[in-house]
Amino acid sequence: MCRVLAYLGEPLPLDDLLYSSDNSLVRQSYAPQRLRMLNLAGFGLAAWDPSAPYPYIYHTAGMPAFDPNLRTLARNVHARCALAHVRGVQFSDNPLVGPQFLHPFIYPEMRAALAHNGDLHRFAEMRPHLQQHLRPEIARKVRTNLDSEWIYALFLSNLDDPSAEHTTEEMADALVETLKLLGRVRRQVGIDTGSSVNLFVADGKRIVAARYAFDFGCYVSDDPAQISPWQLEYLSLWYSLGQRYTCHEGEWKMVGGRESARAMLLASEPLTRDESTWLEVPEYSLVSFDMGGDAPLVSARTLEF
Amino acid sequence: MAAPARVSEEGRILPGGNLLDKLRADDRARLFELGRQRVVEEGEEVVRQGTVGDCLFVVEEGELAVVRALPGDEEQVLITARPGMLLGELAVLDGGARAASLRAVRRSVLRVIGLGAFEALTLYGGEAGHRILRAVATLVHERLEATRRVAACQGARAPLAAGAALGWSAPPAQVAGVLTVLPAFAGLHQADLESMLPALGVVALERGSDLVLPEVQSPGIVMVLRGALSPWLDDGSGPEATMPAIGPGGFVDYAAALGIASEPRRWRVRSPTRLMRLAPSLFEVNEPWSAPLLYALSRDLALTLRRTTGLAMHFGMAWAREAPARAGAKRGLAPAPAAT
Repeated sequence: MCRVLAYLGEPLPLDDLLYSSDNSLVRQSYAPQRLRMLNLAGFGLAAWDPSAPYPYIYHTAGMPAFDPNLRTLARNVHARCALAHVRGVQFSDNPLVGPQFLHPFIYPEMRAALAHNGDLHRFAEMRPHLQQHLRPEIARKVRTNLDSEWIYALFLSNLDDPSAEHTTEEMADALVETLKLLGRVRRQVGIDTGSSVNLFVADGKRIVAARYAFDFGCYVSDDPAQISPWQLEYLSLWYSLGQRYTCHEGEWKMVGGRESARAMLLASEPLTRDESTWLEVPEYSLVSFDMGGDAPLVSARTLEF
Repeated sequence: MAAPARVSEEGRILPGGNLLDKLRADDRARLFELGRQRVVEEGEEVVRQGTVGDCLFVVEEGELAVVRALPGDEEQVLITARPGMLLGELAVLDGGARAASLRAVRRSVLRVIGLGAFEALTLYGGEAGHRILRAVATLVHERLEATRRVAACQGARAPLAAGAALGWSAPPAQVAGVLTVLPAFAGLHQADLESMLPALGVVALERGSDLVLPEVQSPGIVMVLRGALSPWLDDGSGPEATMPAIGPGGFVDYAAALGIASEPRRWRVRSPTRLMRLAPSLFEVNEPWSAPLLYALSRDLALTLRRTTGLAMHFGMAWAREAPARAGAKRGLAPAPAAT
């Protein structure tokens, strides 16, 4: 079911985000605290350094905990913005596993990357109805039938100019339009099974994230063997704000006061077992973080549609 | 300031104490027998936010500050706890980390009750255990209501009329199977759940519809079986932002289980939903499943209070930074009340 991490703020080594804390993202691949499922289907990262408009991209279908390349990279790359994802896939005879399915998705020449935590039930039935909403130049870039990549393509199609830099507001609007479209198509096809769509979009200067679920709580059937734990719980999303994320007196946390905040972390679950310096993003809502000014602008809106 | 009342070893007398005021003298004594006394000096930290909670506390003497750390290393004093107050119950009930730190404002005396002893008393302690757990659950409910009022900046609400009857029907047999996967019924066997069926009712609700609970007739205990509900503002303008959606296994209306009056509330159906009604008799003291059901309700309330407190803090932060045009939902701000 995946775990995601997004960071925006003063440049810091990726190692601090991916490995250092007691519930780091890499650790969440094999021992998540808030998910009764492992995330062993690969790792992906988009990381922006302070000077470049386009990110470094790293994808591996292997386990990040056993990837020495990633560890070396993480120790040496400082990012002002990062979006990272460990992928979890339900066991099946025909799983969609491989490098082409790894998040975050970012097409060449696009500034915004997207990662998804969740899944769209019966997505194959939705796809024909979504095709017409893709811009032709975006449709040509779509490589897979994966719900998450299609959500990315639809998000880009909802931007005025998919390759241009956009304001936080414009990115948030495009994400909301994407969710509305998915909701309309679900109703059109007659899907009312719970589907989680926690979405994270980053472009190096801003991050927009939605915590949303279609038909939360609607499991597939009354057969208890068919009811998954994640159909009973709303997928979590947390954030923390401060001057910087650092190890303070043996504990990793944001320090320095939120009123003078210069950094923001957003994650499927807190990066530390001590959750005291993290806050939950409300369900059915969208949060945005923008580092364009002197201080990060944080905004939120509810998603009611 | 008046001198704080002293709590005796036997648990007698406790004016101003909100848990102990709810208990009979013999129940207070029973509860106190389980614990040990701990004396803390001024400034001493009793528990730290974020650590594992393996005990709860009753303030016997003195004052403790309930302190919550915020992102960015700041702290906020939520309340000052005085004699008779119960502290640390959330972590014991829901198994989560401590939601706040406790620090002695001055030399204080605490009764420390371990998780195992508390569970043994409330799950297997007969009538006394049942009464004590009900008092604890009622206290958590009151704190939750207070948090909701503060978070929504609400004073007295205009009373809503009780809801129309929902048309409950007997549950199909497969409902017992669904109950086996809901955390609220963990520990009960399928046979127990099947024998519970005559005391249950179910009703299906359409996405987007509204309802008011409790019903005007025969209020019971109502839980979400499938789908989800959100508490909705009385005027129908939107969700009660600091309250999480209630999904499968979550209690929606539980006043009858605690023997308290229930204020009618509006709910919005988020997904195609099936509600389940449990007869109040299931929660009565000598019923075979009353203890685990009451404990499940207490855990559910504790989880909701923990999350509501956090969400109130979120709105206090995010809304404050929001562009004025967007600050629309003015229901957000909150120096959150106490949740420990």
